[in-house]
Amino acid sequence: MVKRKNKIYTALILLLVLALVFSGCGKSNEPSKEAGKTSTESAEKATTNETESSSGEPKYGGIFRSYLGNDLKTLDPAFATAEREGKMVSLLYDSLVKFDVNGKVIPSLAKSWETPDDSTLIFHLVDNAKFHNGNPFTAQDVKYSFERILDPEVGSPRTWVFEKVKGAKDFMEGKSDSVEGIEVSDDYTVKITLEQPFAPFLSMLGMPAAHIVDKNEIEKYPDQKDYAFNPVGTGPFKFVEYSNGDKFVIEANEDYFSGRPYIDGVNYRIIQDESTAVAEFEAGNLDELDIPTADIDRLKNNPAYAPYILTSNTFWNFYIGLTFNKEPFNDIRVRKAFCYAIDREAIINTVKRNAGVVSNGPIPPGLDGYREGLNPYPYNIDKAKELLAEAGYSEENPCSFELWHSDSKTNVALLEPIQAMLNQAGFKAKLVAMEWNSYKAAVRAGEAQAFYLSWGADYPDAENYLYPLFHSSMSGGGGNETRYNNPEFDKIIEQAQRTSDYDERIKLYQKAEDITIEDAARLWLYLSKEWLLYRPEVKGAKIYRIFNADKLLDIWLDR
Amino acid sequence: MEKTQLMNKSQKKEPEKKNKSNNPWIIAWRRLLRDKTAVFGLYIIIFLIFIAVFAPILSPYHPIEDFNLSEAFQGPSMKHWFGTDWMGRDILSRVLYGSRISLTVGLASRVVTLSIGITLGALAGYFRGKVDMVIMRLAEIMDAFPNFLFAIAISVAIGPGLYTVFFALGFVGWSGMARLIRGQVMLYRESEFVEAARSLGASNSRIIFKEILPNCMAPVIISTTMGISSAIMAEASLSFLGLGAQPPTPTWGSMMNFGRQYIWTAPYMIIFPGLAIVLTVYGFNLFGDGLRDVLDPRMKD
Repeated sequence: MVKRKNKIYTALILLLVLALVFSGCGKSNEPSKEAGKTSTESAEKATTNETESSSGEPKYGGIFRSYLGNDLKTLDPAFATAEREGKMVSLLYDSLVKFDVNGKVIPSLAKSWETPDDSTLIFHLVDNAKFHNGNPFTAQDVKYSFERILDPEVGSPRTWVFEKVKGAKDFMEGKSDSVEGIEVSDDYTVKITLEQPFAPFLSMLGMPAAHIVDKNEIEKYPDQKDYAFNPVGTGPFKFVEYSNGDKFVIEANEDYFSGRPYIDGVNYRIIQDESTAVAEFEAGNLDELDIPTADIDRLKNNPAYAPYILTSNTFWNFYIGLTFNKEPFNDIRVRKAFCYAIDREAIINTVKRNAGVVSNGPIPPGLDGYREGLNPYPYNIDKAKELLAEAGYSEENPCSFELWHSDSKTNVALLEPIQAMLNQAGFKAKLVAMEWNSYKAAVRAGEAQAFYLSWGADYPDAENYLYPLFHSSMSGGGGNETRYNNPEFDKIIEQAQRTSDYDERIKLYQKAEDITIEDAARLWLYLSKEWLLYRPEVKGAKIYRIFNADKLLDIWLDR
Repeated sequence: MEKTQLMNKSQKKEPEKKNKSNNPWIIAWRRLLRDKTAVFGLYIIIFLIFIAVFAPILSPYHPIEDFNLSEAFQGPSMKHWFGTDWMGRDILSRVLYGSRISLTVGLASRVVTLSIGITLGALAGYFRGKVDMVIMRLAEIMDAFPNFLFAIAISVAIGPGLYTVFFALGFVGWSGMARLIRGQVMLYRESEFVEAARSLGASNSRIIFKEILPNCMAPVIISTTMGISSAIMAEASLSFLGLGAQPPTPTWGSMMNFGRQYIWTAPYMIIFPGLAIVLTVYGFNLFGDGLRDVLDPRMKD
């Protein structure tokens, strides 16, 4: 009998809980609608990309608590191709040049440089930089580091950064022991000669692959892969420890050549789940939050957070790549149907509200060559159906394929409506979520039929969005995961690289861009907007336009 | 069957009008109907089955195809009783369709458990000796793994998907079922009606399947009913971890998993599928409790 009674009580309690939950949710709706109305106002207010640093003199000390959205695969500059790896490489190492907030090239390990002619660069290096192991930094290290990227035995996916240097091809083919175009004049002078004039080269020296390593450290490890998590550079921070899925710890380099950073170090936790990161930030356990799309409205309308939000447009251009040598996208009609089938305006304006603007081509706004009003594939479902029918697909025989993406809720939020639109147009798309590192490897190996990825500027030149992504020699790790191959494009972009006349070059970029758009190798979706939130005691934080430009030298903690 | 057949005979002797049969199943059923909470659980289950079967008729919208980005994130209203999700799909329709997945997973995974568990359990209990030794050691190895972790491992190994869930959840439960059946079979294999069948020359398979197993049904039914609710919970958990049916398939677990990122701005995305899970699990638990009360001989007063 006692048992019976208990059951009735549980039933009653359950009903009560249900009633509470229902009434609760009715109320909580109203404020969220209110919030929607005011969101545009505060969006205008929150357009700063620097936190205030005026309140007093910068203080030294304190550990900055941040997080990474995923594991790191390597900290070796030769292999750091992912965004977060490139960022970390910049903290541990230095390159000859770096970028300011707006993406302008400024001195770093090279204190100055001269250009006697269009294809020669002479760098004068700083003489007070030391590696974390105490070894001094000299011009020999520059030559070693650059040649290492080209060395076929190393197998770096970024050989294209130095391919234009004179003698690089011979060195890669084993015809010579060193690269002719990289000359060490004395301990603090390096002369680089290019095969032909190539304007973006100087800014390419800020890329992760061009960061300077110490030969003695690399040679400690018979297998270069073992160097990946034993990095020794000249950078403002020293490596302390890394463990997968857990944390990445770095400490300030007291002897940094341009003066130590204000903070004593950074503790990065690895937090894959975005909601967890938000909760941790709100609990006060993180100093920095990359605000997930779903939370932008809520956080920017919260007066406790609004003053500490930074926002800025980025150079990150998101796309869906359609693999050229794989069914069904080896057919241009199917690729075009794919592009016409997706209402990008509608998706970006809702799902990516606040977090992105529609992108229509590879060259992003902010770089010379960008054209406003370019819209090659406006939403047109009838045209998509027509093209699919032409390609031999029908309702009984839909065009089915898998769309791969790295596993995150933000990705699913964007791709699910895209999938629904594709299916309306006569495709049969299946979303396949994969863990980031295996996803990246599979995409590079050309295994995906279609995949969702992004490309950010390594250096502020439109060429960076054309040559690595579409040139036939870049297939695979270089950046051309879609195996795009069009000799006409190759010809024009190569011609552009040789052209020293600026306006002429930009025209050729645009011509090259048109070819890639006509071939519909990638559907450009949107350019992301970054939203960062800091704890009030974090001062001097900035959003840099080039992803790896921030060396955390400005940030300080008032606590 | 022997036992029940005997009872059927005795039932025939009695006048039909009295309506008081001695069939243990009918007796159990009557006792079950007297248990108000069990009946309540039964109603919930019937209600859910009704929803699952008639989901296409009951749903005001299609759960996958009817999306409308301009109607995203609407709170509950007359047009969308449970609100809409981030791409403007009707949450009510998705919850209704989700019942199909949950009930299918509940039943399908039990079928897997039953087929593996009954076969192995009966073999072990009937043949004893080495067969028993091997099967029971296997079962112990299975038990050494936490069930849910094992299901996750299977899902990761095969790759996420609905059929993976059927198999993973079905597979992890077999050891308990096998142990249960083994005990029952051991109990009956020495009993008189089995002796009788054996002396009449019945084959081993006939004895197992026709004589012994029908008498083990009561504990199997209890364990299966209770197992359905835990399978539904486990499916929701697997989907919550992204290992269940893949988008855009509407499952309660994946709806909650996805809604979690909007929990502050659109709590209805997570509340309604959550309530659906609570209701389903509650229904099966109440009914299972009631069944145990009437079927388990140990509970008889």
